Amino acid sequence: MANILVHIELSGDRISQASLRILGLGRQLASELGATLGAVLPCPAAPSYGEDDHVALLSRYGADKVVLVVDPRFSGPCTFPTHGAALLAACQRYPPALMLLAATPAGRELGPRLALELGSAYLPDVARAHFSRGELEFSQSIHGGRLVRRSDAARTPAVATCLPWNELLAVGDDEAEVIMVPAAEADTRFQLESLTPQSGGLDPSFVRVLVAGGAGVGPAGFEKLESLARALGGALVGTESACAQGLLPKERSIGLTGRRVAPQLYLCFGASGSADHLRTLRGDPVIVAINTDRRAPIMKVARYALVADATEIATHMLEALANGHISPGDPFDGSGVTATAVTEVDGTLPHPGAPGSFGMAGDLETLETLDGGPAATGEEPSS
Amino acid sequence: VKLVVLCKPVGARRPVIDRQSRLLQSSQSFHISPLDRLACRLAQELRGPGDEVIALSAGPPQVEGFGDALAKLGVDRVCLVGHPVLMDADYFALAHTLAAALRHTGYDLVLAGETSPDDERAAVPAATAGLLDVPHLGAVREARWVSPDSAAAPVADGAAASEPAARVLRVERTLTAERLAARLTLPALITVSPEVQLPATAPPSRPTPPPVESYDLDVLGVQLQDVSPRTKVVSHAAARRAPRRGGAELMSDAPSLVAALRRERLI
Repeated sequence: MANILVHIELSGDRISQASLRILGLGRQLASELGATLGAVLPCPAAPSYGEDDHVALLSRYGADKVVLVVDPRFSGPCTFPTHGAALLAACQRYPPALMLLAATPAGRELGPRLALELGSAYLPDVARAHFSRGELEFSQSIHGGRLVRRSDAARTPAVATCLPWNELLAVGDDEAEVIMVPAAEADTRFQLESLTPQSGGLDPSFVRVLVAGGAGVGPAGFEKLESLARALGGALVGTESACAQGLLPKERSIGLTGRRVAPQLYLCFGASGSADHLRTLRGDPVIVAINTDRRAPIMKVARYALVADATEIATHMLEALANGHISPGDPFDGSGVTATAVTEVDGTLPHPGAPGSFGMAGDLETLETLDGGPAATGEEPSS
Repeated sequence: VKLVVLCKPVGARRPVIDRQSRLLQSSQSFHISPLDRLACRLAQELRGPGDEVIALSAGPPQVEGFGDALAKLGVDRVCLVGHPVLMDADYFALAHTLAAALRHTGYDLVLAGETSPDDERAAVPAATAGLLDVPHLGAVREARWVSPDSAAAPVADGAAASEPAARVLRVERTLTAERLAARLTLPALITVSPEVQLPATAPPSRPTPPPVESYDLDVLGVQLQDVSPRTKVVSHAAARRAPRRGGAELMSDAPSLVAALRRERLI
């Protein structure tokens, strides 16, 4: 039987929410393919066995096997010199048809090296993976979000890093088989000197909740948006015009010359939603538009809209959040999830095997495809 | 010490899709990826007396015209590899070509921009490091030479001219939740974060243009099967976010919006 392996990242001593979502994708594909789903977990110490340990959690989220690689060095950063040999050892033990990683900084560093070592195809930043006419097909956004490329692996195994927030959590049983794989030697040419936890802002490229401000929001408004982003466990970004006005530093800019983002929830305050702005959004986020102009383009693509002043709504949202229970989001470089926290979520999810039990918010369903004809021509903006 | 900067040629024109949904690279001219420029600046900051900074680029045959732009980066040498097969090259094909070129030119420290405007995956540098079997660290924000004996002691100017074995690169990177400091022995490959710390003023450029060298794949020992794509493109399509059917659900106030988001377990 074919194997699908999913790399599980730890965030501190907890399993990252992003990895659990990729495990959900793996469960869906494994069920369609009739494959075994293995969760590969490099961890610094063998987990204690109990209701809320890592193995039980991964079992509940769909893993058939949990491949544990235990070594104290896995308490450090997830890089290829430290973690690569462990993943390769797992791949040797259970040769995968497909290896999935979350498109996190760690996943992006590990993915190409793993693919190289395995002699496999590499598909980075996959927005959607599904079977089409019996072939596993991957969709990726390329050229600054202007184009969608659909491809399949000409070679197997395939290694793919996937945008996590498109994926739903899966539900499995509690009886995953546990396999211990010895940790191979680390690469001694890389010597970790120090690792300091950062308490500052989260990296907007990798958070689940993103609050964005446009040029229509003044300095006082941006202070409110920063508080709102913090209250939601997310990050704050600005449009290029807002950053050009000095309302946020340039590294917080999204747009053609700024960063690309792939949140699950995108709260957009006082920005019109130009085509270039919307192209920076990867995957299929839930867009919330708060704008005084009801005809702004962002209103057409938003799921929820509020025609109102951005600062005022941000203030009222903070009040509303303070009045009720709120669980901060799980930015995958920030906090992970505990078994208890996840149990609260998974109660509403269907069981694997049920028709339509696994879903992916379909990135391409929201992308209009133009049949034939040139997609885009002309000069690129100079950068 | 040879510091080699991988410079990606970014097409100066937008790509075009034909009626068979194939991607046509219509560019005849290229510009340098802005993040590779940062990598080049960092290489110049790390250059000690006697060190050499080389700009290396690989791509379709038109990349030969890219030499002039690279020559203006203040490097000591420009190396180009152009071949039609690299027009549709995937990550590994480019990595194979770059690794072969690096073996040909020699290298101690390889630098590259983290991503480029037309591709944001940082796959080529990582794969190149794998092919060269050198350690790789991404998203580097700071880099400086330190003595192999002491992590903190910076290498003095005179010592910077010494052999690669006498130098260790101390790098720092900041991701969301952690700030990492590590030491890399040479040879090594680093990719440079957009937020890399650099002095405000660039070092003075060379008084004379650097030599530009071109290599053929045969000379580098790259076989065509090494650069055959490992993925099969099914189609390309223009992407734009389609309007939601029925439009957005209009909320009356902030509390109702918060309630709706809670209902969907989005917050």
